[in-house]
Amino acid sequence: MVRQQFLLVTVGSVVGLVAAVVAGPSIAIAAGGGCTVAEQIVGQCDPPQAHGSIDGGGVNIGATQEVPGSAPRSGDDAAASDSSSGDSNGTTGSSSFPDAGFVNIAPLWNVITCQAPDPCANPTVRLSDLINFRAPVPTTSMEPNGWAVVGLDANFVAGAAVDVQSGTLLRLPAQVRFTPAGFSWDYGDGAKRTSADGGASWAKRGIPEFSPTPTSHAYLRTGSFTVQIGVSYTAEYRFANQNWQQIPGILNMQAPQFAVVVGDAKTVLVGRDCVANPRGPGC
Amino acid sequence: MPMLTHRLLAAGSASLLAVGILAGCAPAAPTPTHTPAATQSPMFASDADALKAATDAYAAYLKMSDTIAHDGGKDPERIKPFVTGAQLAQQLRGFEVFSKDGLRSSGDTRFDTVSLQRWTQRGDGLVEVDLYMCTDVSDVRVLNSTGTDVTPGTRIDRLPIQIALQSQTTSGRLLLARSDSWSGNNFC
Repeated sequence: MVRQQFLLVTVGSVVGLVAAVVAGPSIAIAAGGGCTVAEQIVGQCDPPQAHGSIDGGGVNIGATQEVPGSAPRSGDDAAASDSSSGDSNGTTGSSSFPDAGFVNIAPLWNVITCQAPDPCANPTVRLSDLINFRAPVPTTSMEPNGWAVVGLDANFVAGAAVDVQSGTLLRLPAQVRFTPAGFSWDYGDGAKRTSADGGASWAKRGIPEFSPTPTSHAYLRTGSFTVQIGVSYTAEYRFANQNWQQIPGILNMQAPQFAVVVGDAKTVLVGRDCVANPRGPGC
Repeated sequence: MPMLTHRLLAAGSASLLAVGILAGCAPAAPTPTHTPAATQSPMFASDADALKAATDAYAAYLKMSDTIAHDGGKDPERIKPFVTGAQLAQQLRGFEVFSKDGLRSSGDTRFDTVSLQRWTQRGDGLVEVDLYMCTDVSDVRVLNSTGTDVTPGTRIDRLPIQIALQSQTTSGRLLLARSDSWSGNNFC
């Protein structure tokens, strides 16, 4: 059986984009969702459907679009390129195996496979893209800074706010919104808790130092303890300026661990200020 | 007549410009540019003239597109005088859903928020005018063969697009060459 294959591989999205634009109407034009007014009227200009999922410490947003294409002409190799890769959040992409009758276009590798007897005549163009957004790491602090006294509350505070990140997917705007949903506290001595918020400093709460707070902890023994604070995010995504969509699941991000040195303290009666009179009674 | 100091856009500079456009330049406040060739008389005396000519041409195209859609996609070749040869196939394909599914439209498509991106006059006589605009089909309903309204509920009524109209300086008539969804922020 005679099988004629045309394999056109384009590497480098910028080169491909430039060629696509210079070449004029081509497969690449469809990547932007180009459609006629008649197609808009019947709802065929709608953006491709995207899907979001939680992946490790971030969120993946992917989209695939199938659009009619035109036959590549001689010299149009690069015109099949999609430029949708590349953004500050680390867009990823991979080559895709061509299916019969389809032209697969992924961000970094673009492969066109056409078979005889009708090579590349009016193929369907399948555009795929994937973008990954990393959830922000919470900030942490404690007071007193790095130490605590046995039996007295040390106050721990975590910072995490709603974070919206933007990128492009199939040349259309994509956004992810991370919203803190809860905090977890591991004080390193076996005590753990969860809370709805990240706490606040004593000063901000307007209470004296060493006062108990919803996120404070009183250690019962001396030693060095490793504290681990985490935040749970819910995530939503928005694609092509459409409505926000909730992504199922919770995303847990851990702040860098830090050590707390817990010491002992004794209360004694002294005659005067021990700083001013270090040899005074009780000093 | 203004001095013609700019030469034909070379492929390299055109490419860089195109990259800039597709990389997300905001269309909110575009700076119109035009590049007439050194050996040609400019087709338009001003950016305003270019904008008006392109707007009129697009309005004429839109009127015929609506007429064909009102007729259920019948005789779609009527769009031919309003589009370039390269654009014709896409236009005909767009009308197929009407004729194939027995649909027709009622109401007229509108457009607004028109702004001139640039106009270019090449040495070979080709003139291209690029515009940003919003197409609005909110007044257009899709009806099936029994007259029932089957307009898709999820349809995007207002769509930001960028279009290109081209003509030969000898003919002077601008034809729709490209129409692409704007991939940046939605300005509609």
